[in-house]
Amino acid sequence: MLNSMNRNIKILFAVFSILFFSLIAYLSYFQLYEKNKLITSSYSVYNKRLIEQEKKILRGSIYDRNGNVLAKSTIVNGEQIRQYLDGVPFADIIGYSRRIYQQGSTGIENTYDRELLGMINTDPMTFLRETVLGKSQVGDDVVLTVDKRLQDLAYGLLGGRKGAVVALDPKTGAVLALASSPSYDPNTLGENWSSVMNSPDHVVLNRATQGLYPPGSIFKIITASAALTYKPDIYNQTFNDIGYVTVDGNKITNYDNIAYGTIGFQKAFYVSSNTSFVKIGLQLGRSNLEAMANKYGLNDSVPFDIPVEKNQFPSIPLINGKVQLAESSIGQGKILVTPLTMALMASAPANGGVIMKPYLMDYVKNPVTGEILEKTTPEKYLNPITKDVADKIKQLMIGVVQQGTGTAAQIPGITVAGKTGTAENPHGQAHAWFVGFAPADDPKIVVSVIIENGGAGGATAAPIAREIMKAYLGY
Amino acid sequence: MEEYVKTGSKAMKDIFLIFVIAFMLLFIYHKPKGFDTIYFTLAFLPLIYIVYYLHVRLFPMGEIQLIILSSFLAEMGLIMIYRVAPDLILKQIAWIFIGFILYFASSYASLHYDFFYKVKYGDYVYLAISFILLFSTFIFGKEIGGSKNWLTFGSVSVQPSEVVKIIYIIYLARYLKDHKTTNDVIKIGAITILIVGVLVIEKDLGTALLFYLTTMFMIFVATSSVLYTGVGTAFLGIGGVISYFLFNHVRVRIQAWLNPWMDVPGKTYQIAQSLFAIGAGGFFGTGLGMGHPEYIPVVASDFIFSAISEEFGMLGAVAIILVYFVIMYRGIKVALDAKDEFGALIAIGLISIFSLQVFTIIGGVIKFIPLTGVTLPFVSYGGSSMVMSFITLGMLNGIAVREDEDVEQYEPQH
Repeated sequence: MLNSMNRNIKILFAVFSILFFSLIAYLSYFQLYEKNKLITSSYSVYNKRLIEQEKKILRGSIYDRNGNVLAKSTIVNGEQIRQYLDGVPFADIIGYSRRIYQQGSTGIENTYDRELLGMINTDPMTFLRETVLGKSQVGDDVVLTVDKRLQDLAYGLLGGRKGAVVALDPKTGAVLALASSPSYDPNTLGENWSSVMNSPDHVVLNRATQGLYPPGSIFKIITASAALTYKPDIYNQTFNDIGYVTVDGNKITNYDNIAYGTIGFQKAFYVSSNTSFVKIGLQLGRSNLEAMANKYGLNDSVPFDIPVEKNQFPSIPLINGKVQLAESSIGQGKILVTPLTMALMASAPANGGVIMKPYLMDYVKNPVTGEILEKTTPEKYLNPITKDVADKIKQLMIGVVQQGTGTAAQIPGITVAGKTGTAENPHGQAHAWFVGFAPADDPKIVVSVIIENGGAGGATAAPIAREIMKAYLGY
Repeated sequence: MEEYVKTGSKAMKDIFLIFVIAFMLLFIYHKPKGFDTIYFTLAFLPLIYIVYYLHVRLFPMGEIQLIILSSFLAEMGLIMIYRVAPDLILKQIAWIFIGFILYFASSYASLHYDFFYKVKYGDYVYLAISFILLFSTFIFGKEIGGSKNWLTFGSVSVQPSEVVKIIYIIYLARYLKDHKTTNDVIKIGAITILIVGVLVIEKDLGTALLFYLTTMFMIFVATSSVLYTGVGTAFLGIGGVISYFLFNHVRVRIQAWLNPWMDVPGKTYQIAQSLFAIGAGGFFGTGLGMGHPEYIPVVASDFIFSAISEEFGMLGAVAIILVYFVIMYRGIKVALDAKDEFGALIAIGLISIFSLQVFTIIGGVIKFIPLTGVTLPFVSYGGSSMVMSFITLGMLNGIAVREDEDVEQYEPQH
């Protein structure tokens, strides 16, 4: 009897050993993965430790790519004051940090909270030295990829209208400008808290990353990608464009009901012929169109330094999905995308078919020693199309600006590629879209512009993109 | 033997050193309310030395590790209590002192543990005492910290369920030694579910879980039956689901576990603050006296492990877990070496409930399992828990010495 009991006792020992070591394993997991969430999550307003830390430590500064100070903390009468030097245009990127007032934090201030509070320097000796010497500590500085000049220009060009501008470097994914209008002044947030938070214009909503819009005709980049990838013959077809097309009894018309007559694939793209692209979509079929949309990340939320809303590309039903397929082919129907995603979409043809992961934080440095503590290295995000297809799309986009709907984006001396969009929506006048890049032979900047209810993309959005490209390229 | 004592003395010296350094640091950082506390606290050091040498003299073949490790844990408790609630420290030292005395008393009592077996009508006596103690809180009980499981006598509050733990283990060992049929197991199961039910209604969820699992483990060891264990686990699941729908306090605990951020200013305040503390500690800790464990509610009792994690870091916390692991290992060894089934079953019961208690509270404060308010043995502030933990180890020591004494008869005396 004792023999079998001893065996059981040993089994029990094994059970207790597993229980004890699972505690250790969970603690390690917690320290490695869960801990950081506690510091950056919105619940951290309940963490009094961070408030203490925040009072003790001079919060780090935030810089643009050229060393311009965007945010810094100073001590006034013993109290720490956060100043946002280029307040309104940057409010939607940088956000605010108001943990002390239990109002939380957003944007870069939230994402890089640990860095700005100097909490990533885990060297215990430095910490001990600073504690023993009673030195006041300073947080680390965060340097962004954004160009202040471009950001101010973009915000200015939006001119108070509701909309967004995203500009990025297609080769690295570094974001150059990310403007959302209308915005608010984070410097006076204390006094204006409730009016800002409850503003009917949703000024705290970052329209560039969290605004969801129907893409309209700029989606034809994806439809064309699918056509060139899965049914290359379509490229040589001609379409009889009589200004409208009827799908299962539903009439889909061209913008302004223009009839283009018999046109080829290229012309159909230049003039953004809905009729032709509906026919292309129907030929492609739902599975090809869906596959390409997914490859462009239209069912994902983009990984980014600040929160991004998930795009929506609902799958087209197998049966009776013909109308929806037709609408999807021209970017209407149930598709919803963010301006950031559309900038990424346009960077595929600009960058040989590869979309780089977008990022805002270039590096984090110690303000005293200048040592670089964290640095973002560019990485591949998606690869929806081959180099060959990418080059063909690029040629189509050059055509749009040279002889199509996007002539307003032309810059003398350089070749601009682009695509306009006029997205119909249930909330009044159509949204004006433009995506494009320049110089076409060696793209250095991709721009995506949306003006809510701005009408035709070629007229309203393209000139904004032109000004931003011009400013960045120095023309 | 010589070697053995030497290793022990070295461990005691380390305990001494840790204590002196810790109190110096705390004195520098926090300037406690006067020197009285310091004098009294320093008296703790000779006390653990006396206990150590007494143990070597009285039980040369005893489980010396148990007293060394429990002294260390009690010391860690004192350091943290001094850190977070200095007012409680003298009371805690008094409880440790009483605990030491009861450790020796229960060691001696357990040398003759056959007595517990020979008690006439033992089954009925033990069950009667257990139920009287449990139900007494229904009538005379007082609600402290959300659980109505306390009896107060003047300024002293005791938790009868702590006493019932040990009586019930002796009852189970006695009964299971001779009764292993399915009917017997069903009978034990029914009695256990009754006790557990009372505890759940009294909102003492942690103790309820400890009772249930310990019974299950003891039945497994006694009968080797996988079937009983399987059925027991199934009942635990069903019982958990039923009580989730039946009792609001069970529901709150489970919800707070699933989402500790659900209601931080309210229901999930404790667990959220505990997680903030553990997170703030990181791997190396903030350093003793340099964190903010005072932000955690009931930090001196239920959440003392979070305070240790904050100031000593994950490495310190793991060290504490490993100390409990060694105690668990020694307890298992006592059970393996016990000379008869009754002794082995008592030892298994004692070490099971002890280890499960450690797992339940540590797992609870780190959000590995739902939080149930039990104390961390030897470390948490609290009399009942301290005294009962020492009695548990004392009994294990007694059972171990009993085994060795019988062997010694065949060996030359040193």
